[in-house]
Amino acid sequence: MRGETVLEVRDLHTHFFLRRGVVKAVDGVSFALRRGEVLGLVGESGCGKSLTALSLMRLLPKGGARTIKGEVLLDGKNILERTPAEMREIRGRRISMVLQDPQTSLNPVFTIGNQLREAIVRRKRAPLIGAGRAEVMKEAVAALRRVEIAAPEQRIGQYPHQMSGGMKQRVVGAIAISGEPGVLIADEPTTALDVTIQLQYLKLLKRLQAETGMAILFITHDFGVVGRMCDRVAVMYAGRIVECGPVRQIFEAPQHPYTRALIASVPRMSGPVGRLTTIEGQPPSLMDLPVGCRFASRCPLVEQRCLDAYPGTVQVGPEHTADCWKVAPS
Amino acid sequence: MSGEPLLRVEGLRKHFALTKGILFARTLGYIKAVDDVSFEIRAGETLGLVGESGCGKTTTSRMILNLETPTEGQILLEGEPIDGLQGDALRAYRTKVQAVFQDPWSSLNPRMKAGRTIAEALIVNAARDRRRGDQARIAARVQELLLQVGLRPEQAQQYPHEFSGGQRQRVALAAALASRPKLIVLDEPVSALDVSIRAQMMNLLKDIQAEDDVAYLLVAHDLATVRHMAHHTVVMYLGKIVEQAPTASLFEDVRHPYTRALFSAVLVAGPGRPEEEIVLKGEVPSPLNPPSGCHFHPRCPWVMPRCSQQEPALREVSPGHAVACHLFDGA
Repeated sequence: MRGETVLEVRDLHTHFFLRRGVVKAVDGVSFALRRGEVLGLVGESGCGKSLTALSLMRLLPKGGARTIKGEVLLDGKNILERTPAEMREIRGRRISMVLQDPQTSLNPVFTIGNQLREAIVRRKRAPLIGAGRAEVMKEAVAALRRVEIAAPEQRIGQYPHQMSGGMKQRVVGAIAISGEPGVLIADEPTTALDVTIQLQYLKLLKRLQAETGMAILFITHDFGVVGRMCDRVAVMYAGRIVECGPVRQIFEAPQHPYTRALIASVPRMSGPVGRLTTIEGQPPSLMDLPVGCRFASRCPLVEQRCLDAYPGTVQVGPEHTADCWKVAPS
Repeated sequence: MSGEPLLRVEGLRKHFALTKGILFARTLGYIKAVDDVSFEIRAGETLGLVGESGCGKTTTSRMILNLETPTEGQILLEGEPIDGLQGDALRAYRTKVQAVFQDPWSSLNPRMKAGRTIAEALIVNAARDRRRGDQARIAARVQELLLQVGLRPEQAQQYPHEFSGGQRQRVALAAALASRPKLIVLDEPVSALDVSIRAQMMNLLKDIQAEDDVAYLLVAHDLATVRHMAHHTVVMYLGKIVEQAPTASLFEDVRHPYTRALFSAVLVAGPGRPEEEIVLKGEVPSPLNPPSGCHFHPRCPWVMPRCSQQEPALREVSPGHAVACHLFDGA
């Protein structure tokens, strides 16, 4: 599993500059993604996980969002310094993305073949005439077959509304990986799918990863999906990664109080049925973040120093870090 | 555990006609959204209704809410059939059976303050009883309800957008509780909420059940949620019940191949993989043209020749635990 680092994010800050103030949605995020691994980015709504992904793609929403600080090194080069034209070359070929809702990522008025061909043609710069056209068509059918769509020759002429949710998400996956990217960002790709379809899709992603060796940044709020998919996990809270480590250690010995509470609040399929552990209170407003630890107001172990200053990142084990005053360094 | 159940559903069917043309409409076929479903809910208990999209669980709950008329079969609340209820009798039924839906964004009126949303049912009931809406009494009850769902009384003055997702779902729950219902239909009540908020809501629902002795029909796709909330569980596939049992015995002893696949698809929050992993082939077939015999046979790993010819009956395999599968014919 261990490969060289393909994507490294250093101290990324993406803020929304609004008239009311500055929303610090991503506020100092650092992580590294290695070839052939799945890194889970976990957190609750509003913690900044999706905006982190959009920052990596340089596809920030219009209306005041700007990456103001940090580096995103893709194969060693900072993509935040690229021109828009260079970025278009990078997207789809080096780094690609699958979003949550396949209904909105596919265009309803074009056939899926059309949308697949668009990606292939752009990559090959092949003209859509003569032999080139047949070639592209063949490649599109092969791409559908690769994501395990039955009867791809017939499916290729269909519109998105003629397909089920699971099948649409496969098409989106086929488009995303058609350029053989080194990094795939999957932003909650199975949240809209039924459980049995979700399992099919996750297994497909794993298989494709084994074939291509791509690195996957898997964004999710579901610890079940994390357990099934990820090699390492980064837990995000209020714009920062508060804990990062191998999946087994995160589940068996979580160090940060937030991670611990979050995992404890998940209803289980076995063991006693009692009251569920909850986290009282709300995350802090991203417009008015405390100077100290961001989890302090909800933390059962809070002390004065937690309120006074943000804890540094502590190495708590091999490849395992936590941002907390109360953890013991290894 | 004796006497008449609170709600009884008998042989319930709902077939939607698929038509073509407007003036001379032809019926192309029927979608059997719900096809011969029977179950009971006892006072103060929770029944979990589980299945994937299109299995008919929402249509079933809509018929119980009297939002959809059954094609066949009947629903009895406290022994009284609910079809044909009109006027005051229908309004009285609505006070007894309430609902909380998945998305609190769309179930609350954005232009109505939370207090007014909660008071709505009380005002309507006061009018039905030919009483003047007693302002002070209603206001006191709204305060009481807000406290019961874990909000502050002054939050009655807030609009839906001023609440977080979890708080909005609490407002929706307070509104449902206002008329002191006997049964609340909870249609995916926690699936739109964050993990930590989900646990709060589930605890709250259980507390309220213990305090008010209200019964829940919990429509959900998440088995872990059902396990924590429901006393009985009904599993549906393509409009039919494939398995039903007391929740504890179902989770200990899953019988039907579909239920087993569903259980194995639940991803456990922990490292590693489950011992048994059944990945189903393909997707749920179209309800317009369901497979012959057992609807599940084309995807079933244990399929036998008989399965495509003969529809299995729902048969009791142990006390209270019924399964519709030919594998258990001899049992």
